[in-house]
Amino acid sequence: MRRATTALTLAIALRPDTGAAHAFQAGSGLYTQFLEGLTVTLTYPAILLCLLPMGLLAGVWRSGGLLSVWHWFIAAQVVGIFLAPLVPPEIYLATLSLGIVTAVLAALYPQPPRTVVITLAALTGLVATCAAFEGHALLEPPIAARAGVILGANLALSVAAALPDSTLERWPYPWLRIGWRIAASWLAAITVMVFAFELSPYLNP
Amino acid sequence: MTPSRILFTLAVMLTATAAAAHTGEGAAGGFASGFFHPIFGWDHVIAMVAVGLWGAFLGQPAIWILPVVFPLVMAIGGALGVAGVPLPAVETGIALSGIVLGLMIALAVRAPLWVAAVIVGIFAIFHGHAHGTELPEAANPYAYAVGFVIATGLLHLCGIALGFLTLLPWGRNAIRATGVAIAAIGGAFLVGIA
Repeated sequence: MRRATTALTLAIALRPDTGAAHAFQAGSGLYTQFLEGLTVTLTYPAILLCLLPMGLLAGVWRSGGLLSVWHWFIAAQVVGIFLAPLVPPEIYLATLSLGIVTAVLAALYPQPPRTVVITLAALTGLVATCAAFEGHALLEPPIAARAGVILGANLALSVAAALPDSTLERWPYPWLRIGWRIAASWLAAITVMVFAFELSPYLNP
Repeated sequence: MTPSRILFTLAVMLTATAAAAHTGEGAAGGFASGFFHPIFGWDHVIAMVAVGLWGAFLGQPAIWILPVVFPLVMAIGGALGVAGVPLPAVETGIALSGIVLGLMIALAVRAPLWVAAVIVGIFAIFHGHAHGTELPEAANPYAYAVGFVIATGLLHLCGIALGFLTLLPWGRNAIRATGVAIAAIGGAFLVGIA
């Protein structure tokens, strides 16, 4: 990258802009800041509905499926921290779109090639982190809040993967696998609806 | 009951204030609104159960393909409803879903999987559109969506569970009779007597 482009990118990334989506203002103590970051990931529908389908896909994909792609997710989260200041506020539409694609895949084609699952895991880590830190300059969110966001994303992902993975390993019945695929279709349907709500002028005047 | 108790009861009843607990607002109210929307509407109930029944009747893989297809396509219909995109003859489509799916079960039609999925998908659009347009203003939309998707799915599972009766010697005829009943209820909705 040329020096001027690098300088411009750094200037944009480090600009002291105020985040509108998640202000990270409430916490004064480290623990409160950490909880605040955790809450952003676990309560913001656009982020959660991107993480849960990915976990579900990894869980129904194969036994220990998440473990073989998790490092891609975490690496993409690190990249996402640096890219977040550059993304537009509409990033939540990307998280929801990715959630729909992943959930539909988990419902209709739950054993895709490994490269597909790796790609989706990396994209999920990237866009979920970008959405959580969107609107903030690179150095603006406190470290504890940042840790909360990262841990919350991994928590949601791992729980969503562990539930199908552990139940299918314990009770390897075909109907249970079908049950998880039906759950994935429900998740896809909910995400489609949330996508519509986000775009609806009636609900977002 | 003594007069003093009656007076006390009357006093308590007449001084009651407006309920604040279950107003239909917020996440809980939104979930309840969404959850009960398919369940309290018989036109929805018969169609959802029919999807599960028909899937069970057709066997693998339709038994799970149809209940997977329905929510996915229904959500697209719901999104159209939320976005305000008009869809003609929604109520007619919903009533027809009961008739057509009921007849499929009653006549034991073994349609190819893709045909069954297309039929179910088309009707799912109408059901989803109705859910989307009837979103209560006070309800939390996210919770509403979760509620109606889960309720729809549970109704499908009820249909699938009932469909397992086909494994019994008399079950097949019982399920076909249920199909007749579903088609009749759908017909009643179509002509406006239900």
